[in-house]
Amino acid sequence: MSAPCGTAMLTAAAQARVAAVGALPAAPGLDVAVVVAHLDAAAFIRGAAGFALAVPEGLRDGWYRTFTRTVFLAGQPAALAGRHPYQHVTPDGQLAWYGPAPRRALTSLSRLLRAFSGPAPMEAPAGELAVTVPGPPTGHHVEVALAVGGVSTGAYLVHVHHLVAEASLRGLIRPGDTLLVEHRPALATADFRDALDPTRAGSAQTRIAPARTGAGDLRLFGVLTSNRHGGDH
Amino acid sequence: MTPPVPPPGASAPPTELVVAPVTITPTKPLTPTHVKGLIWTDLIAKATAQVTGVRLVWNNRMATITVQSTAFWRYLDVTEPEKDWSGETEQGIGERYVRFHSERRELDRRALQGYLRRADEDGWIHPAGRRMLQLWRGQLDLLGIGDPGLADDRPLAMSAASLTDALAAHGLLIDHRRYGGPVHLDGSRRGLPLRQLISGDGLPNYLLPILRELIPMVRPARTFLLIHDDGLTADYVLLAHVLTTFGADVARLAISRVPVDGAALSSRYGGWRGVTLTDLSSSPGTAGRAAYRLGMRMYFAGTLHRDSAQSFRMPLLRRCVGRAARLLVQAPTGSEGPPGARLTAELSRLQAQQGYVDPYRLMSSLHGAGALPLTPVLRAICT
Repeated sequence: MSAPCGTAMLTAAAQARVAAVGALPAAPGLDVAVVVAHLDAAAFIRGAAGFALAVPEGLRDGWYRTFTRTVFLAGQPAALAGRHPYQHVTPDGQLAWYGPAPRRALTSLSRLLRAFSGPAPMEAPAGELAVTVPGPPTGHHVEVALAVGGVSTGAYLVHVHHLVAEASLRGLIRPGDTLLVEHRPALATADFRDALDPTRAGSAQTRIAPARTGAGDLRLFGVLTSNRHGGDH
Repeated sequence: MTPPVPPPGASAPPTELVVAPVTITPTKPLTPTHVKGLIWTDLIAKATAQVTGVRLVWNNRMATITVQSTAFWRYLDVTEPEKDWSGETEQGIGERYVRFHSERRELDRRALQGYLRRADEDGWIHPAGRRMLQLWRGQLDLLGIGDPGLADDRPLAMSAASLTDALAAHGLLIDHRRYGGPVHLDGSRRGLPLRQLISGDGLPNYLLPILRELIPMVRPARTFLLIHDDGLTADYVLLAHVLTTFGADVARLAISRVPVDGAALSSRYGGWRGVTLTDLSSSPGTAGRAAYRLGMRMYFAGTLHRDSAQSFRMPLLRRCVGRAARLLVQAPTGSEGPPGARLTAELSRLQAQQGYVDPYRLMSSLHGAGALPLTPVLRAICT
């Protein structure tokens, strides 16, 4: 039997994610808002993991049910602190997280701010990033590969946040882990056969979304692999 | 009106009211809403100057370095490249402005950047804009508003780059240009919504040149009075917050639009045929120039109060001009009126809490029991 082609692999992996979320017990969907003043990739990835790992047990399924739906807003966390206290903030105060909460609870924040707009190509840091997740060091390493070729800054935020947040909710990332992050122009499906195999999805998180080429093509935007087994996809 | 900004270092009175009216792009005739704003501004500047120092802010570039002006001028250059604008009427230019807004067309951003750069660096004004300023000047002269600076040209007090640096240093800016995004003014600390200042394409909105002119004027013992259409209140609350953050003492005066036949529309939608300032001044009648000037003030400042929602009423304006003519005949001449000190005291009583002499109260005080006599000084203010 011949190996499945790239598109079939991506479709199968994406369907596995949808099926896993659909299998969750019914819960009201919850959203998250991230306020962005300045973007630093390492701070963003660390913050996304730190925030997701700190989401209270009772709110996790509600956010996971919306596929960790997150809105990105332009704003300055420090200016908002009096009226809109954040749940999580980066040490430099340039990124802050709000929620998970019902959409209406985030409406006043959304109305005060404006949607983050970042159509310029993502300026990814050169070389591998070692991002330590808040918490006592575990010595555990998680590998993260991210595609940035032709990816706008705004799209990068979306892709990376889903990848890291879902992996954190599933337990593939734990407090004190180190994420080894590599930015590449593109991720070839052939290089990630294991991660994309639905039978091995327990130790991997993928981010698959429509490619900008249109025509229903899918593209692999991110792969996270951990030798620690997470919850069901 | 008061002379333009004196050179730096010139001695200033201990307190000074900086009157900054909303900008008007020289792309259309002056409508009743504009006339109301200009008359209120003129009365405030002239009457308040009797009780304290006043400085009027007017710089054509505050209105010309905008997309509103330059996109229209680009349209004229594309549609009528050979046109000689020096003899065009304000109706002719204004009708093109309405047509331009009714035709939705893609902005040529590169071309607009070029127009904005010329307006900013060289003080360039499209010939149709220069023609409109010339026509406005004639009308304002007839109305006794003099020239607030329509014929002057000087650069804005601060460059766009220095302004954004200063705003960022005061925590008032979110600059996402490095991500290809816009620049926002951020008043969220005071609960004010973010307001785009420069689009992701690099095009500024009308608040940018206003801030470039006003922020360098902030200094102790000055109060800013921002005069604006009430439809722009959200923007002006934010402007006031920005100036306050830079240390300024700021007051705002929101003035309602004057609806025409019940519609209080922006002039870009037209609907001003027959009621432009030129139409009003050329309306047949026997009144002399002074009666026209006083009557216009009695109507736009003494009948229409600042929040008035009343539609423009030509018969009422005519009645005001008639009443003005009678007042002028009865007015004392020479030195029969109260001495200057007494007028100053009378005008002080008409000051609003924010320190400016209230035009509505001033115009109301010209008639009825205990009316202020129309002495030469008062006459100079009102005509």
